[in-house]
Amino acid sequence: MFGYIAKRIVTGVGILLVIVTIVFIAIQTVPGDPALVLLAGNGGAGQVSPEALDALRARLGLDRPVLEQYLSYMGGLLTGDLGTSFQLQRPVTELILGRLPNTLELVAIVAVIATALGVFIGASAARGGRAANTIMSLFTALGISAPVYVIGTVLVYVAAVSLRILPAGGFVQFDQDPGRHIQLLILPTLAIAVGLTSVIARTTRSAVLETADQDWVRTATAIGLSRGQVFRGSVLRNSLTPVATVVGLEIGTLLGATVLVERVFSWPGLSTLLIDGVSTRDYPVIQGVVIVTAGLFVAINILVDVLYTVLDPRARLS
Amino acid sequence: MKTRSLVSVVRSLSPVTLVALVVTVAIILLAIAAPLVAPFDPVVLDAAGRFAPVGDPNHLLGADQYGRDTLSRLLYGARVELLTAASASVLSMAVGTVIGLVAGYYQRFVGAVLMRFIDVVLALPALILALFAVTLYGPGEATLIIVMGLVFTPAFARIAYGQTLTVAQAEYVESARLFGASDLAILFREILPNILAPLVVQFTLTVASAILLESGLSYLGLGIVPPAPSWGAMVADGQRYMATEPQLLLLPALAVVISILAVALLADGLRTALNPRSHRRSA
Repeated sequence: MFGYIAKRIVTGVGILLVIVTIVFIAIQTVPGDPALVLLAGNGGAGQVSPEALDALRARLGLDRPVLEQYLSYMGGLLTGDLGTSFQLQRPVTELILGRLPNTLELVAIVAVIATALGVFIGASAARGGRAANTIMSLFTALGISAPVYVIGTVLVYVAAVSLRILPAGGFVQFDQDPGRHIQLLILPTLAIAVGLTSVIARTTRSAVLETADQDWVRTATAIGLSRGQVFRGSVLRNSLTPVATVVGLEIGTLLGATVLVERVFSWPGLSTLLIDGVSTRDYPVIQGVVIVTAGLFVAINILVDVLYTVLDPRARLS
Repeated sequence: MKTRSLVSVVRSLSPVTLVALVVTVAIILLAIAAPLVAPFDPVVLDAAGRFAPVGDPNHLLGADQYGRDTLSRLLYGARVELLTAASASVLSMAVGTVIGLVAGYYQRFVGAVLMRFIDVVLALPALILALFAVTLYGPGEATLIIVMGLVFTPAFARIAYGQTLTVAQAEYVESARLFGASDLAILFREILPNILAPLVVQFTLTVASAILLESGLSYLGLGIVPPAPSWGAMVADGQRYMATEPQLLLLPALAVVISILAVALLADGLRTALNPRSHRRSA
């Protein structure tokens, strides 16, 4: 099993290296000079003196050969240095570390709530009758189809504008005002959780229905275990493997959803940093956020794979 | 499965799927006919009609902060939405299917390399990848189509790959080979038609995902370039005025949800209808 985990980590690092390289090359191919954009802003390039441009390019390291830039970026990466933001003149690593906890907080809370709720709803629907199944199918279809930014804005409209029971958005540090912090968390997490809960509920339902058909379940019933015992002991545990797979696959969607939700609720996470970077062409920031997000994604998927082997002993063999 | 006619597929659809099919077709027709049906030019300003309410004699579904007709913007928005979503889906289906077919057929080296490429694309969340591309190449329909085409390619490649692995072992493929068919002919005449059903389902699903992704990017102001109408940007605009003019938020929100829901339900229904195994297990 440790060999398997080690192998997954090695492939994960390999994939990340490829991504870093592709991102680096992609930025090199962009038309337009970031130094010029930085000096001239959105206005014309006419007023920029060539001397100032050269000085800035030298300071940003843009005058060095591409290969040298690449190697020094890779070298920096090894020591956790993601370069310096063009706009804010601060280390990208510092900027990202300042925002990362806020995004991870959203992701972690949503993952826990959605998994618990989704498994509960899916398992109940599978044990319920035809009506329960139909109702669940329709609601989960709706939950999957509604984009997070739509759920988010409609939640703001209902809870903050119409009912005035929750704040429309913003952020307060937990240690400054825990109550307010949690209040501000409710709507963003809810907005993301709806979709994920729906996906997990559907997967759980079909997995439970499939498992309930198995021979060992019939055996468990035949030896006289009660319905509840059979369900908890034989059905549910064996249905969780596909659920773990889906949670792993949905992590990407989840990370993408935070981008939109952070915008809707002005939540200062990684994504707001990314969008600011996008609008000001702050390449080091964009590069950093893309790499860190990819790293997170790969890491979480390895974690899910490990969880997989814990849930299903058969997976340990392969 | 190859021999099942379109009629028999439609006949085997559940009522929910039929409704989804009708709604989808209606949205497509409205989008195509937008220039004929829409009462106004979607970008024309009308100072007198600013914030016209729903049911206004001039503006049936009201108008926004510039007096632009909401109904017209929704209709033209559908056009842009469907065009980018469908183009991106066609692109990703074409590229993904070819990658999957080739990787599944020539398993050793080519297959491994192609599937590793797919792993790399999958290691980036779709929206992050799209945002990155928009930063580099600027927003707009062309960027959207290419980026979404790339983002949705892995799913097709994986399905085609898995199916090809099975089908390539079939006796009819073997016999075609014995009769001297070229690899190209085997791939596209023998294997492709037999793995098409799950790809068609995935195509429908991808259209729904593409609308989701595109409208999200437009919501962030990084998709369709204003003033061209797009549902995502309409939601973002509406959010600013929701305290007094909630219809500006709720109408485009409804349009997005209904179209994605219809297409997604259609995909679900098609999956059931096209999968021979699902008939006995239908719950």
